Amino acid sequence: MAEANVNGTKSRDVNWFAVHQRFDIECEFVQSLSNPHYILHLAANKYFDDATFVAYLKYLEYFRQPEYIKYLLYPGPTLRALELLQQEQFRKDALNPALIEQVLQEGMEAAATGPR
Amino acid sequence: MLSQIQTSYQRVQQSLQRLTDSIAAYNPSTIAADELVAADDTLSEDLRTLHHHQSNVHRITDLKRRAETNDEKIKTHFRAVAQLRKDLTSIPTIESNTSSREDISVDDLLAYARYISPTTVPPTFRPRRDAHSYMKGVEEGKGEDGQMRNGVTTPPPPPPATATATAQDHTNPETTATATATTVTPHIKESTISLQTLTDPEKQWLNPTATLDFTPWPSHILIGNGALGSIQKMVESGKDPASVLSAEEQAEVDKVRKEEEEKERKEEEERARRRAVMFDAAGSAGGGLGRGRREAEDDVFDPDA
Repeated sequence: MAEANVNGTKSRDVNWFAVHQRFDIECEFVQSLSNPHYILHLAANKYFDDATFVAYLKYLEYFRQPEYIKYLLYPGPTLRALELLQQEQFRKDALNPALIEQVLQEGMEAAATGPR
Repeated sequence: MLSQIQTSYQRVQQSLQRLTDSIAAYNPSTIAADELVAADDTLSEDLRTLHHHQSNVHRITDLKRRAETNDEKIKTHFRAVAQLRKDLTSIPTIESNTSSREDISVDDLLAYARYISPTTVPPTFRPRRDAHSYMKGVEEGKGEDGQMRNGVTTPPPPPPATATATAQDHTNPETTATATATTVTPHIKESTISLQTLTDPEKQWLNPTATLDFTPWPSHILIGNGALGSIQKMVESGKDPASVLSAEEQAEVDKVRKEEEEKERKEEEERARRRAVMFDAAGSAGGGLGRGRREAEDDVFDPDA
């Protein structure tokens, strides 16, 4: 199941990587984006300068669909962060600690008051 | 109508007067009596007509009144319908893509609500001052979500530990661990007198995030313990994550390797047997091939060869 036979040669199954399912890894990653400090960490390590990474963030939008959203344990902040990260200006400003702090505050308040 | 009755009435009076005059003149005229009778008949006829007329008038007024009430009713109904329509159109509609909206079962919704209950609050959330009872309710709910596939491989915040925690506000160890990292510290120092005079509900209303029992996103510890963290550790330790196999892959590879080893061993035995046979066949006659092979194998110097 894990090893696919392509043209007689054994190629690596794209859905498995280092013991974990690809979906597990993507689900984890998209939810860890909801932590504003993680966004700061990514920005500091220049991940947002990579066009492939940005395209990957766009690809992660599939988690908005109902059949995938049900796997999110932190749906609100995750989708909010995803939405913010699609904007180029936000990605540029993510290095600003004040902005991160503001995002954090907004997230905490939204979590405390619940959906309105 | 009135004039008609008046004329007939007058006629009656006149005929009566004539009759009484004729009787007074000792000359009763039957003609006058007949005249009187006829006039009286006419009068009664007119009275009947009058009666009929009056009843008609009554009926007309009655009908008019009923028509009026019905009109009023219709008007009120129309007004009510217009109001309802206005209310209906004023309800805010959510712009939704109806093509992707399938019917979601109640069970699915409830299961999902249970799933995200440790990390979210509902719209009707009333934060309790007693954090213990709230966390206990959360634990019971979370114990039954086994059928929900947990895409996040990191473990949820450990519930049993919270039940035995001390009587502090934030009993969740994950929260306290990350309190230094992500929890918002109050901007006002506790030593301010104004804060001391505030009652607890007021404090909670002013700073709702302080009574949250959870962080609304995974902490850096959680992230580090997850799949991404393990991959990071692999990369740091030098192992190529792509080459690391899961348990079943490892078992497969082991099996394949064992089979190959078996095969090699069998071939080895086969070869050894064949060599032994050939050696015997060559025997002391000095079959070079066999001996040569044996020599090559044993590398023993045989001066007799």
